[in-house]
Amino acid sequence: MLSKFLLLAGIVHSQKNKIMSFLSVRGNKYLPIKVLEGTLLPGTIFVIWLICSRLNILSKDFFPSPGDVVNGFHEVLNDGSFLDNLGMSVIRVLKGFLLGSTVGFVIGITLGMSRFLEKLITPIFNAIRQVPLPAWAPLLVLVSLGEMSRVLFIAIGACYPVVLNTFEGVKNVRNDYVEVGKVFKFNRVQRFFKIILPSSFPSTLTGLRLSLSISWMLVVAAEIFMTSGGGIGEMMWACREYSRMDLVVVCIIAIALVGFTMNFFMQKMEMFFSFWRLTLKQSR
Amino acid sequence: MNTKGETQVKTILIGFIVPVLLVIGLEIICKLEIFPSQIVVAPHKVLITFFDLISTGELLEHLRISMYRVLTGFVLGATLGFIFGTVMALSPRSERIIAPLLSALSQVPLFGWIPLLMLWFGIGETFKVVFIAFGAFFPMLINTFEGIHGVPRSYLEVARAFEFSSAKLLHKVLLPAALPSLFTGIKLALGMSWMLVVGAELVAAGEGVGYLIVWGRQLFQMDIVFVGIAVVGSIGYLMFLTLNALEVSLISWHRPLSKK
Repeated sequence: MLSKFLLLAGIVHSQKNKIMSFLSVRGNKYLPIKVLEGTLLPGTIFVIWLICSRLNILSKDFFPSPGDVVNGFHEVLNDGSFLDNLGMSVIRVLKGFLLGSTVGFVIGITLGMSRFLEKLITPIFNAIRQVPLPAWAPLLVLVSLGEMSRVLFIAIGACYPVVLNTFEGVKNVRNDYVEVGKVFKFNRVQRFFKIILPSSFPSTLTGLRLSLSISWMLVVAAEIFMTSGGGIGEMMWACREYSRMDLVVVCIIAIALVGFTMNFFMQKMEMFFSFWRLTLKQSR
Repeated sequence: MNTKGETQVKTILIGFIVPVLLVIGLEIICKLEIFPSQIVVAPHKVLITFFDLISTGELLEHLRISMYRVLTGFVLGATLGFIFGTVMALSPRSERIIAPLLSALSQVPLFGWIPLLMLWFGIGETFKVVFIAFGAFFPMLINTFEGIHGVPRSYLEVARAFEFSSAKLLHKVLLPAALPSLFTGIKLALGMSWMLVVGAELVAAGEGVGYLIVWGRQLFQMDIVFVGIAVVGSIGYLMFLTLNALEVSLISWHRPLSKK
């Protein structure tokens, strides 16, 4: 065991330069050191956790060992409950997100395009926005729409960032463009599709990214506040009731990973569309 | 000048059209009894319930308890966020060591911590305070970091020329320069705390405004639910306005471009 390790260390040492150049991204030669520093703290915590659980210092009910977590993961993966619940949550988020962001987009565009509607609706919109999102849950339970109330709960949270960012995007459309449109005698529809929509779109996209991450946060809340519809949040809640700490940790890691992936894709999309914004800036 | 004032009054009046129509519409719907009274409740009943709850002192007691939770959680979380943010901004090495762990933790949707924290801390006050502190921590951390990280290098050079001690540097240069960003952090953190206290009280509490809403739901009393929602919304807004006013008076030299 030790000799194998020494051999491996020798190979790593002799190939140091190659490994360094493989690890370094875009000529950043300090990256491996940075990565090492970054893993220092999580690594230390992990080792302490491992040692403590080996020595049975920590109660298993509150601090499951890494092995327990892996076993728990296998267990729920094999009986299919994990993927089922995760899938339900993802679908629920997509429904809520699509509903909320579509409504938000329409409201944002309308408020941005019409000064009268802006004055008419902005005050009540702002008043409603002040209500902390969880407070809507009991109301939606009372209306008792089943699955729809969970989706609506997510949609409420998903709608605000899209409204605000779309509105901002439409308001910040440069006047020059609108004037060019006037020169070309664009009608309202043409003005909307050729000028306002393209130049406000990057801002809308920022709203959509925020909206998706809020939706993912709210789906967990929705499933905890309004149970009996399945989903990863409800699975966590049930695991808590059975004191299955290992499964709670599995669920937390899973929701963090899914949230991270969603955010990552939205960010990539935002970057992809930002060439649009870039050229706008360069043209100034 | 006069016409400007007139248009402002007009704008405010237009803003009242929709709420007034809504109230009238709801009253008519309730008079006609189209929906069961558990689902749609007449606005005047909500007002009556509101005054009832105030006169019995019930509402204020719930509010006091929620406020206390928010403040302890907020102070705890925001202080820790401020300390971590400052340390990370001042020392690049500590940033490289701490940041990956914290950003991994911040990926977990906040409500996802509820089951874990409930198992660790039970359903008492500790759970709520820790949960709220969690929510207040991250916005404060990010904004403190960005604020102090964004202090222009020239300021630091001037401070070095005057041979400021590090305490003086923090007090005289870094904090004032980072103040606008710190305020953004405080506002976001307090807003988040207020949202989370309601969330925490929905799942595990015997008192507090969040509990008031749940209680109304369990009794099938829509009016109590609405009073709760309105009160929670207004208090959150009041906190935001107070912080805004404080910000304007403290940072008079830093005005957003739009207001100049």
